[in-house]
Amino acid sequence: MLAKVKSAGLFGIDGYLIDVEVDISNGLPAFDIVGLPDIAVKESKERVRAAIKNSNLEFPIKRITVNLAPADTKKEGPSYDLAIAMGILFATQQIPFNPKWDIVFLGELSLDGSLRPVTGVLPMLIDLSESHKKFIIPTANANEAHHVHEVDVYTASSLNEIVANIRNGYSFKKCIPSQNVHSDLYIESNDIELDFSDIKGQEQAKRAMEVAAAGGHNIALIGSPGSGKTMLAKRLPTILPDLTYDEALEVTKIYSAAGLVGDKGLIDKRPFRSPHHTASKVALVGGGRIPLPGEISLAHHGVLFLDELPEFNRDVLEVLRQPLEDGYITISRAYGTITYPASFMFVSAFNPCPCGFFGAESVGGRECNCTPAQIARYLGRISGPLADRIDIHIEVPPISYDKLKSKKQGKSSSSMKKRVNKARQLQIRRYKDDGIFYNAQLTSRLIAKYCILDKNADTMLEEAFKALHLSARAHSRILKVARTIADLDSSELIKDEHIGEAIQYRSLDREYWL
Amino acid sequence: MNNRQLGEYGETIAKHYLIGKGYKILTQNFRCSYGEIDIIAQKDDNIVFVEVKTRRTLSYGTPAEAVDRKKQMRYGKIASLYIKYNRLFENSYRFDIIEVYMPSQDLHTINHIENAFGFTGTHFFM
Repeated sequence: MLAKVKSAGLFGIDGYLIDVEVDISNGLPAFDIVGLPDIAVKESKERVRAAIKNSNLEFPIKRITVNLAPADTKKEGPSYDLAIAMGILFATQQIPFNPKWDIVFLGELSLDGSLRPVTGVLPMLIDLSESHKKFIIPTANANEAHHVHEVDVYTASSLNEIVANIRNGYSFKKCIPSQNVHSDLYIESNDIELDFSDIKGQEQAKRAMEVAAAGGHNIALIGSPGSGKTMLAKRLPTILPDLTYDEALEVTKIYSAAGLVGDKGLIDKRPFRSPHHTASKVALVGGGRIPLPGEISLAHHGVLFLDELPEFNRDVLEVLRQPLEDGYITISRAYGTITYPASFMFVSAFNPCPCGFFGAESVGGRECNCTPAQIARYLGRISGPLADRIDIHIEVPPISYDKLKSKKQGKSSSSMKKRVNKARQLQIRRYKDDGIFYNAQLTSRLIAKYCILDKNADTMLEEAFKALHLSARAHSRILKVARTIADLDSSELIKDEHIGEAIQYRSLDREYWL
Repeated sequence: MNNRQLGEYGETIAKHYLIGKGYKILTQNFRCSYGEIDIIAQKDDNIVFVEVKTRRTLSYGTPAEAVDRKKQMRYGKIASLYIKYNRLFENSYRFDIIEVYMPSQDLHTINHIENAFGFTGTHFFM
């Protein structure tokens, strides 16, 4: 009395097939699960036993052995409950087995036999869609699963329902999403629509945000307390280019593996993550006994916003360096080595000095009372290599009373987003043979190929380079940003006004001690 | 009636109860070096190992609670031996507990717990 049922497991954000083999033989009554199960899998014994009993089915008083193959990968989580229960029912011939129906079962059982949602349904469906076409999943996962079109997904809400459907000649209910839900993940706590027109003044900073969004550049906002740095950053997602379908699937895969999708279905907005400055290294890059994605992976294809950047622990900031360069993070633990994608736009905000008012006096702010040594120490917490990866530095000066009271509406998010989308389209077309998508990813070889300056621009950059004592790395950053500014202008050639604006965005090179 | 007599009386009650339920009694008080099983009965294909617990009062908990993990393991070993001696490998097996609650001489209630416990791992002969 042997039955084989299919289920799926999750390793990082990759799903893989698991064969659940159930053998029932005579012997002292026993129930064993082998194949490197962890605690939650071992506990599924109790759930399966109770669920079968409470569904008015018979739990055999026999020696039951369950094998989860491949036996050399560690299995975790409760998502095999349903497959184990089905295996027992098939092995005891309480329901007829039909080999034509090659079904993959996913679901956690509750003691009363109802099906509870599991994490990672989307990656499992996507990764198994090549080889397997029929899936039975809990109804609560329907919103997330109906985005996979290549397979037949059926939903069920209880063990009884599945048993009845199988006895009824394998007639299952097609997966229908409960409603067309839209995610609100990108604005974490706020339901109110944010818009750049909420911000009075700060036109220069808004322009910098637009450039950053258009080229995917990392950006740092520097300014005194209350000048609007956080407000600006929070509104950045409203002007980011729309997620493509493939990108949305990729983001949802990560959220699904982390168990954060809920009933939201596909995550169709760019994520905006703003961890607090007490966050640990593991919180940021991911980790744990079974490595879970961290903030940088949850910000994949979106924005990672670190407010009060110098307040973060230095070693926490340093772990960002490698993923910022590579676009992914590899986490190694005893459980296994897992790679999570982590390609995000790095946005940070901080004060120019410990008191916060350095440079604010000239524009009507309070006087700064920090010593140069204090300022150096404060900004020194942001290491050179990290600052090196920030393309755009923009100062956010305190705002004057007149501007604050003015009735004039600033630039709105929708008009900015239109320009950003246009510039992005340009870049995607230009780089389609180079394997990159936007200007921030340009390598030095590609900079030489695509960042062509006209004569005036060349002269201007040369003068600025000498006068401002710019470094080689600042030089290439300026070229990348100038490329984006030219793209916003729909100009293939980089002109002097583009270079001029790009040079402005290097204030850390000029004014501070970084 | 002392405790020993009480136990024996309870076992008699349980035996008659099982016979009334259609079980065939195979052995009573099967003894080996591991210990003793009160009643071994058979119904259809099932060999049932029964532990009878008799109590006058419930103030020390229900009788079945006295069968802890250690005792369960012991019954498993004894049952393995019985199966081996009698070559009963083709049957399926079950462990039951019968609680006999006897507040006075002429009054008793019976609580039959079928399949009271199972095992994990490969501690036994098969």
